[in-house]
Amino acid sequence: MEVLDVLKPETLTEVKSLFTEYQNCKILAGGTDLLLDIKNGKQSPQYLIDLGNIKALKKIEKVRKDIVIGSMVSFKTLSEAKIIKQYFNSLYHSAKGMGSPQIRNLATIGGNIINGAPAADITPCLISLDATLVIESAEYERFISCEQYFIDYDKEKVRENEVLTKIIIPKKKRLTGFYKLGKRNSLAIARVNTAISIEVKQNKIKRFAVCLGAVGRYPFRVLELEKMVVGKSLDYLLADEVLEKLENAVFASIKTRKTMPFKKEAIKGVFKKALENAYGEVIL
Amino acid sequence: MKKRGIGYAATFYGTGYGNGFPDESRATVEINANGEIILSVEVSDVGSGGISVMWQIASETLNIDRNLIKLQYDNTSKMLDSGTAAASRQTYNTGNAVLDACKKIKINIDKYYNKVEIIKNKKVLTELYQKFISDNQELKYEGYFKATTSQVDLETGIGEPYWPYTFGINRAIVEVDCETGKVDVIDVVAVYDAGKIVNPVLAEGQIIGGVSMGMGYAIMEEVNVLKGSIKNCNYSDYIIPTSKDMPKVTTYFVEANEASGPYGAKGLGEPAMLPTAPAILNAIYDAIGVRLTEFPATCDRILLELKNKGV
Repeated sequence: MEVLDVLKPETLTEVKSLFTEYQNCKILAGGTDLLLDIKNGKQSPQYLIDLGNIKALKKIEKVRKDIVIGSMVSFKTLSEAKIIKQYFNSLYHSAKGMGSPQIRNLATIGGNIINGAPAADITPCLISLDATLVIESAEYERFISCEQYFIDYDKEKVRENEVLTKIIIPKKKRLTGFYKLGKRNSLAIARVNTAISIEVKQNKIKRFAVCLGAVGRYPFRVLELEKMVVGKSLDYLLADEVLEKLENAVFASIKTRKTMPFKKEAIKGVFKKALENAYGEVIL
Repeated sequence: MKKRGIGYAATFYGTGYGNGFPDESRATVEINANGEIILSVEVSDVGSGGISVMWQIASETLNIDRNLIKLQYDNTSKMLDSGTAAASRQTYNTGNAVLDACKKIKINIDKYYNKVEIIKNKKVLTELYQKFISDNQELKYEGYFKATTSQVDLETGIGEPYWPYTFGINRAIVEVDCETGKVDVIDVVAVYDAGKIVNPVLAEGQIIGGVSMGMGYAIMEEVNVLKGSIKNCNYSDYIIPTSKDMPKVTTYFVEANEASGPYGAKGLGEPAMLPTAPAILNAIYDAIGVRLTEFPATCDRILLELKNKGV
């Protein structure tokens, strides 16, 4: 089946009305995944709704205690925005290291989330930063945490009449870091990636979040580990029992996969690199 | 923790088809009424720089500025067979055929023009053409070269399968991350004896390209075959190095004269990538004590080997 038309709405209201006018349509963000899928016959929508003309979705704003990122913000914009670098080190590094300059020019944060790839670069960062997704349709607007979105993916994923419009990240003071282990230094898909976020109070860990990517169908947090480190000093993050928890989490997630022996070993190194990235210098 | 290691590997490589296979090259050179030299040589340049090399050899031999030499190549209906752009053979083999053709016409040019200065003026060539015509000289000359090669006697080991050989060595410095298995190639020094280097800039580029390919072979490139079909037959999943993976590459040439080569030159194409991969594996061994016997040295293999070793 061929794509019959590419619709180019100017506003979000228009997008929502197009859902009722056209059947079998698909939202086109950057197209770096979708267009390949169409070419390879993995997806066959009849209509594409191109969000490229909607300016409202391309903004990064400070709204009270949050940073709100439009779903059509490109990786290039994300990696060059001062506000992102200032508050979310992990997100900045993840955006900067994604794909190649050409891909970063086109690919969007929204597309990276909705495509739902196991090795997505941005998703682990968003989950570890407690990001909330704003999904809209003609009738309603729903808010769901990025974490919950992937835990309950089959139930929560964007439906045909919905569009992801914003990503809201609380602007808290925290140390955040990201590391991706790829087959090469650019244009690489993550073999394993990890994002972490640490809130520190009086030299003790007040809150800790760690999200692992490319070691399961979707990125996931290791809650047991997160609880375990609360109240401890930062050094404790390198303790054997902490690293063991990571290893166990990866093992439990991909037990039967051929890559399991490697990934459960690599996760410990990748985690340490994410910590280094958060601390901003090599201290390990 | 990251560990660094240094590794070396050397190569010697016989250029040309070899083992007795007829290895012939031809070229023609012609002077015309427009004051041009037409060099016709079937040098298919797929990035090797062969075109420049032939042009330089002709210009050097004829003592004529290269702007006055028109080079025809690639159109097999208009020129004689020079063999393939393969076996690192064009500079040496076809270069010799160009040299032969140019030497033949040069004998007759010398009868009318015997100054040391290089010919830069079209008028000089037009006058030469007129003299060729009035003295009834041939306008077109054929050059030919056949490489020395004989089959090796498998009983005695006697024979000359290749002539000549190109020699090279690489020194690679790598950094291995013992916690992720990731290998970064930091620095490569490449030293080659490919005879006299005809075009130093092209030769350096050839080496850097070779190092890049050798590095891909060593640490990235993997063909995944499942039930006879290749699963990663696209550049999105068949991983080769990008500019961000490239180490610093320094090249040196030992320009030992090859008496049978055009101006002492030998081939460099394939030898440029040969020692890189073994040098990298040796460097990995030096860094972490793991001797890999299989390519590529991916983070998977390295990390599991380190774990098995109990490092």
